[in-house]
Amino acid sequence: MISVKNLSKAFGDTVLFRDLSFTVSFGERILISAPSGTGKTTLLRILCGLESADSGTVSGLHPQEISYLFQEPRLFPQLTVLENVTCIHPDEQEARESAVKWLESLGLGDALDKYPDQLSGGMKQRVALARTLSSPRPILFLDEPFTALDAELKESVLQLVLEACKGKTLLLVSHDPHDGAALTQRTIFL
Amino acid sequence: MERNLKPIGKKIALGLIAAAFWVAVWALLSLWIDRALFLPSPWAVGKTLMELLPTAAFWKTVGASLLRVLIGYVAGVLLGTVGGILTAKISLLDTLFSPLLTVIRATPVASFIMLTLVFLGRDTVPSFIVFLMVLPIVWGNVTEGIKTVDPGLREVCDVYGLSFPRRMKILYLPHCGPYFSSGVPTSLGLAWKAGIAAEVLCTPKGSIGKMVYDAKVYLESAEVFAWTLVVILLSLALETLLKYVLNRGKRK
Repeated sequence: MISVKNLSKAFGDTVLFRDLSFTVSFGERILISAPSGTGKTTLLRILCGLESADSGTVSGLHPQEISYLFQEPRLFPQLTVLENVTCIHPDEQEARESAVKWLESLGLGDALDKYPDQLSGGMKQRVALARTLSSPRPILFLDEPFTALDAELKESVLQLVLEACKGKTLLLVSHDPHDGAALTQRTIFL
Repeated sequence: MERNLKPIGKKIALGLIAAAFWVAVWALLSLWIDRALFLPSPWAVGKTLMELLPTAAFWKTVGASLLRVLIGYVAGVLLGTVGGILTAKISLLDTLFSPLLTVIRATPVASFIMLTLVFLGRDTVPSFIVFLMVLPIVWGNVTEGIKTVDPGLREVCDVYGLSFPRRMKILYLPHCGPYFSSGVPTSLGLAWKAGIAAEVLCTPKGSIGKMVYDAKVYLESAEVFAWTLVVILLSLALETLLKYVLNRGKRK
């Protein structure tokens, strides 16, 4: 079980959250909800070890168990779409099959050999999603995964993400309550 | 392919026309001045060069100068790369080495030549001067390249615990490559000029610099020009070769 106790974070005079406590059981799917700019992304970054909290503790969570979809696609510009997905895996050759499967599922089967600068914003977001979902890690952090997708595509991607989350723990940050309702079982308010 | 060749052909043709224009200006000026000692004509320089080219001594001299410059150049590139990586990663080293690199950049080449001539032999000074010219350029470019790596991509590497070789392959080398490949050919031109300048002042045996110096002493202006032409052509050839080698690894 992931346990967060009395976590606080402020940037200067701006307090993002104070004495935040919650627990997440393995296999649970959680929506983190708060108004824009109030620390949802920062919370994920702290849990992932990319940033430190001002006070409080996090237990039962190891960074090497997390697959993280950042708010921005963060693709390596010199790598192809396929390489951008396989590059996070210890054995790139072994990961190829799963990477191709995810990319095809996300409608990117024709773009495997393209480079990020040849893709639209929505395509980049889907490549980043394929990278995150192709990881065998048991915990998924998804930070606004559907913002660059149009409504029609979003529905099919939602279903894919739901499928990928089976047996995994999910922490989702989304401004759209519909995403939360479709993917998660419970909401944590900051 | 044909579409790519046309602009290249046009570029070469324009370059040749421009070169021909300046040779014509040179020829007219030499006719007007009419003193071979001050400005020899292009044909006099060409004739001297043609006399030099078939001799074994010419190639031996060129080879010796080339070797001296390359030794200093390779040492400068290697140490500049290692230093650049270290100072980009360790801020204390950056603070420590910054003033030293600034001093090296700002000091006139002639001062360095005179200072080092006291400690090093006349055969070693040109290589050392080349090393000093190349070092800060490569060092600065490598540091700049590493410092400007996208922190977001670095975080992706951190999150997935990517190994150092993998990070080098997918993040640092592709990003820093252009910084490195812009600094390295530029510094080669500079290295070559500084190396020859050091040879002129130190006059090591069997060097282009000594040939230029001797020709000047004996008022052989055509020979000074011919050797200068050799230096320019070699500089262009080396820079083009290096750019070609560095561009081969780029994404198609």
